[in-house]
Amino acid sequence: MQTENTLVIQTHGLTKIYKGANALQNLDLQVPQNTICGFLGPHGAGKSTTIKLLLGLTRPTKGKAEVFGLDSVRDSVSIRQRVGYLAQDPRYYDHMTARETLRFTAHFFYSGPRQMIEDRIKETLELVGLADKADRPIKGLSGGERQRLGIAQAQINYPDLIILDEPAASLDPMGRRDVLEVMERLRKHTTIFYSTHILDDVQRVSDTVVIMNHGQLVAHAPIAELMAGKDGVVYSLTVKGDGQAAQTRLAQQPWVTSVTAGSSNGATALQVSVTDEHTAESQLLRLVLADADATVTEFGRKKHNLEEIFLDIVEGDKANDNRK
Amino acid sequence: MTTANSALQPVAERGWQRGFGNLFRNENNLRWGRYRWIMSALIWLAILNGFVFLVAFGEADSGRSTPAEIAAVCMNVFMTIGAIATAVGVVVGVQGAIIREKQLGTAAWVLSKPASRSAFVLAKMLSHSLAFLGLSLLLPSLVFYGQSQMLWGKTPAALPFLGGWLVMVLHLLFYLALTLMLGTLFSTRGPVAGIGLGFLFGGQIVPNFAPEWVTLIFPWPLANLAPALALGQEVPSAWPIPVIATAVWTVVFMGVALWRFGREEF
Repeated sequence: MQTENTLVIQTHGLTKIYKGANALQNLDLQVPQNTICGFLGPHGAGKSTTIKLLLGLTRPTKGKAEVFGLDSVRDSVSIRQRVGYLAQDPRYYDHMTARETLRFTAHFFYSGPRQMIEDRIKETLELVGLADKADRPIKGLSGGERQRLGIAQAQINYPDLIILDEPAASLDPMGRRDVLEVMERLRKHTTIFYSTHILDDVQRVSDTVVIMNHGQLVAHAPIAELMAGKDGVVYSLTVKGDGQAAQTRLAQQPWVTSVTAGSSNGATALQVSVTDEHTAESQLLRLVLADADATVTEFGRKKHNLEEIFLDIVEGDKANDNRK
Repeated sequence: MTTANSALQPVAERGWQRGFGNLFRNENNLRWGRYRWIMSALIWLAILNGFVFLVAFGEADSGRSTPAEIAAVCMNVFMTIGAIATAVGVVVGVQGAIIREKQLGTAAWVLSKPASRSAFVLAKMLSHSLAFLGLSLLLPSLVFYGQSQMLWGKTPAALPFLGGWLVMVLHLLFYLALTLMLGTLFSTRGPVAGIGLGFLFGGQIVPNFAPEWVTLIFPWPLANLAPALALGQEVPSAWPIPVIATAVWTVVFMGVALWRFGREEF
């Protein structure tokens, strides 16, 4: 029996080398049960390689991967019994219809009863909005419809883990919204591990985020922690008047780690990094306003957006590489 | 999820068999579904039995041969052309069976489900075997029996004919295993078709300069052995060697195909 804290995915020093090139280097990854984990990284970061290693579609050069505590090489079929997978560029048999594709997929898991399998197929087609196109050949489906079929076939077996490789990449905004809604609905029952480059989607649905670059893990944290930024809690203020005095006064406080200032249009914009959030909330504004000449026109906790953090991490990683 | 899941019966296959039934059904649908088999059957009947008709009428028109001699010539033509043509058909028809799925990504999709890699290869082997045996050997052979009765009022002796037919089956299975194995070793069709057909037609040249034992350990003599057995003619004393060697090669090729496909990286 799995507990709330059970790790569904766990890798130890997972490494894959293709013809001398490091596709993945020493990946240590942990994904807990019933979470949605966004797997980010630029092209060639090692996302698809990691997913293929988890599914046993390719073998690690070094290290190991475990899914449900099972070894990805030795117990690959047992793992795939409990996993639903949607590939980045999903391909199916073109001679089949959507219904036939789901029937073919379902028969890898279930042998009967026939009517229950057909009911499951019907329910899944309705879930992804393909019921009216169920009996058309796949080659007649649009990109978005094929992607929805991909999601349908990935969850036909009520999987304990769904792995989606760029599930919304080829979809229009409505298609993306539908996919995210399906993911939200499924999170109650399953763990979702998905790679994407659409950062808004990650911010919206993920519990944890993993960022890869050049085959290496560069960040792995709960989304809230990552969104707080690497500088910890930061407040931003816009001060009219003597901004320099406010900066000096704030920098002297023991709970302030750094203050950066920039001027524009006669106002000073201050970014204040703090160690104690509660003290900052009660003291910070008072300290600035203690100076009668100073007027605060804007004040608030700095909200990072994921794109900013992602670029910061990935480009910081690139700068480190260049220094080496 | 578990509650909904529990009412459905899980697949009972384990180990290498996992997914075999489903994959085999899918392969069979491709071969036998939607009237495709009728087209294949008509092509094979036209090639093999049509050729027999042409030879039979040609011989009869020349007036040089007795009906028994014409029947023997036709049997010879049927078995020899049958062995060669079905081998060509296998190489051409099966060259993309594995490569196409590797290239398109459908193999990776299927193998992301609980299906063993051995089941993937064996389902193709069995399905193609049944289709080729049924449509390119069994059906034309039954029609040949009917042709013999119609043309010469006499059917071939059953046991010798069966012996020759089984040799043709072995010949076909060899090229099927070879083609599937090459499909696991290469990533494009060119080398698969080139090596398969090159090996088949190389058999016409190799005996001219290679020692006899080289010819005997490959299936080349089988195309001549099949009609000789079927006609009850005297066969070379070494005839069991190519039969046994071909059977061994077939098993070895399938073993290599399973081993190589088991290590394929998707």
